Amino acid sequence: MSPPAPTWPALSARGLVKSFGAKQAVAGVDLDVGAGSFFGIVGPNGAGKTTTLRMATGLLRPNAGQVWVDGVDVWARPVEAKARIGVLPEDLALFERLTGSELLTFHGLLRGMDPGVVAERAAQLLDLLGLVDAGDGLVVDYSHGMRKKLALAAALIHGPRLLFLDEPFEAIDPVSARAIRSVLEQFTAGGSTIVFSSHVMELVERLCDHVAVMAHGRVVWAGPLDALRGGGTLEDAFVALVGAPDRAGQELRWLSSSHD
Amino acid sequence: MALVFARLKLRLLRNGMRSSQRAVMLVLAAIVAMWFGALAFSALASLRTDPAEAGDLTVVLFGSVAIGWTLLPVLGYGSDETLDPQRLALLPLSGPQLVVGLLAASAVGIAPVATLLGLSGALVALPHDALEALLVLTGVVGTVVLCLVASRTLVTALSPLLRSRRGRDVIIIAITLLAILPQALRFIGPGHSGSGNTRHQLELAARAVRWTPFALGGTVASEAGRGHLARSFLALVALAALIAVLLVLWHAALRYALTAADTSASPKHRHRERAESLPLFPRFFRWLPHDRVGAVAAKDLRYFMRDPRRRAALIGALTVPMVLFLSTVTSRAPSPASTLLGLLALFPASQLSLNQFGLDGAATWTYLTSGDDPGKDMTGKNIATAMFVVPFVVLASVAFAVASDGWAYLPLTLGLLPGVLGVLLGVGNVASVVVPYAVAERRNPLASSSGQGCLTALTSLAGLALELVLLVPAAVIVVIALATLPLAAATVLGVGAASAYGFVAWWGGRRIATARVAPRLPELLEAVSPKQAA
Repeated sequence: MSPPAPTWPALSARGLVKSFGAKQAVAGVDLDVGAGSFFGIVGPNGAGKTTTLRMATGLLRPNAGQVWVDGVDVWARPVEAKARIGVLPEDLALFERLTGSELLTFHGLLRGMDPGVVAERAAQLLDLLGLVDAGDGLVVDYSHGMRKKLALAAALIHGPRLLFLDEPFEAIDPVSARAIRSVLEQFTAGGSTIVFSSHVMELVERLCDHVAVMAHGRVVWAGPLDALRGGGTLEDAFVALVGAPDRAGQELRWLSSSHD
Repeated sequence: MALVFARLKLRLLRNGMRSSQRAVMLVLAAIVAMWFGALAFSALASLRTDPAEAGDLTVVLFGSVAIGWTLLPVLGYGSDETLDPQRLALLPLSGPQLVVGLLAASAVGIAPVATLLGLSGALVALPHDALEALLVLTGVVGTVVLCLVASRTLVTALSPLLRSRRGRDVIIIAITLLAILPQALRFIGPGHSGSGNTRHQLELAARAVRWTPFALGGTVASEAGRGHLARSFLALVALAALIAVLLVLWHAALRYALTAADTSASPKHRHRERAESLPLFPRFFRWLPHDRVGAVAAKDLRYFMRDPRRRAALIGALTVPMVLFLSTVTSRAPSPASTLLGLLALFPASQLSLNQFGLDGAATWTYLTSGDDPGKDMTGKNIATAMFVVPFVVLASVAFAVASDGWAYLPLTLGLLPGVLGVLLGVGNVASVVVPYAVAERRNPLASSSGQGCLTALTSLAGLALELVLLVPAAVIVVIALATLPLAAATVLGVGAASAYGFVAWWGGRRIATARVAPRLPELLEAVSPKQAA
């Protein structure tokens, strides 16, 4: 398989395949994410978004295919590749018997950062994400939104070039979502790249400049957001691409009739 | 309603068989349960010729079965999820409907059938005519109903406690303590010396418990078998009243459990430690290096103090040296060399290090994304384990020295500590990566996990066996030195040899483990991540 381009994109994937038993979750994904872009991966549940992201971040070994981060092969030179990326996983499995500030310190030191820098950045991130008051409480007692924010802080503490976010806005209250969004906008303003998966179309429309649409383990469309939606909304374009079964004729008549 | 619930339970049991691992566990459980049932049945039935003893056995057996049923779910063995009333909270069911339905569902299962089988032995042993047979039958059925109602009532009454994280933590620890209590009691209690006359003891026991609540069903049967129909009938009335009271209590507990507020705590402020050092490092461990190794060690040390599963494992593992200590103290003239038994307090180190990444569970991804360096992670974990167990060993060794007047052996004991610890950690590192397994994150510590206990026990037995084999050469050197040299010289030689040996074992184990796991980190993550419940 030939490497994608002479000047490397932030992320490239070629022919990624992953099967779980007989079920093929990802059936050959090719993807290029330009440096500095805010890239959304959209798709229905079970389209293979999480599996693709896990393979791209070195957490799940692909059956076939290759992934490069800044031109570094994730599976051949994992340590170099992983130094460049930050990850917010979907399941938010954190060391939850640590406090928020302990967790950030832990993540920083694992990456071999200078202790002084770790302390400084941890304090700044907690402040920025509104977690200062909770910083001394155990993560196990955090709400879902607080966990997401903390996991984002942990993914950012080493200043990655490329950030992977799996469903960052799922089940998040509007205030936390705004805090997360403002951090992400600052992040891309500095020329870094974000790849995130979501099925909330409005968010993707508002945040992303590029999108990839996944269905049945493949990328069915990828490119600039405006080219995909044309004049309409992303949701219409998405449904047209992915295809929703037309059941308009089969009405549940009892649902709209009054009780008898 | 009862029928719907019973069918639901049957369906769930059948669906459970779809996973082959769970099917095997279920069949094994069924075989074991039925075997015990058959054993109890034949024990009772064989006493047909001896009515007095049959009656006593009935009373004692019925009583202990009922107590066992009530306590076992609390001890963490099999209360089943299908009956979690929370899942039924949104259905428009009245309280009595719910109680009857749940009761019917709990009657469908392996354990109730096995219990019924075992207790039915009384039907063969006791009655002489139809009326007596009828009374014995009511005693048997009544006891089974009592078992079901009592266990469900207790679990339901405890369930509000399970909602808060703190409550769950407390229960995990309490379960462990309860589980080791019998071991301790065996040493303290008087029944320690086995007197031969079991028949006499049975008679005494039966007399003592005959009119206690749990044994009432047995009394119904045994009095009927003796022809004391009035007494039998009186016991039956008391049993019915007891079941009625429990049903009312269960009903009340259900209503409370379904509507009580979620008491999970919001994040509590911990006392902020002085900001001179990074917050991750506990007070006495600020000296740990502020790098990957130190961070992992500090994190694990925090976890030893905060993670109830680790604390439970620790408490469980410490019972072995405790029991040995008690038996040393109680023996008349303990040998001074028994100071060496203080090393047994290292046992928890073995238990805690055999599945090091499994204890981190799904959070293991953290190590992977932050650059792969399993060798450093293991070193950090080993440091934490050593820091944590060494004080226990020192304490235990001093305690043994006091008890056996074996101060002369204290230097040797403490000197051997690093060597033995090295072997344990070396084996632990290899086991952690060769047979990693997910430790179920149990939301509800009262719910059973299928197959988990079996796997854990197998791994720890195999690990222990390997550790013992590897310790043999060091032990041989020490024993020979003790036998041939004066104690001081033997100490120097033994400690030197054991330390070198232990270091090699640790270093080698870590090397093998690192070489093995470094190319397989994603597979390790998969192995230790708890599977989503199917």
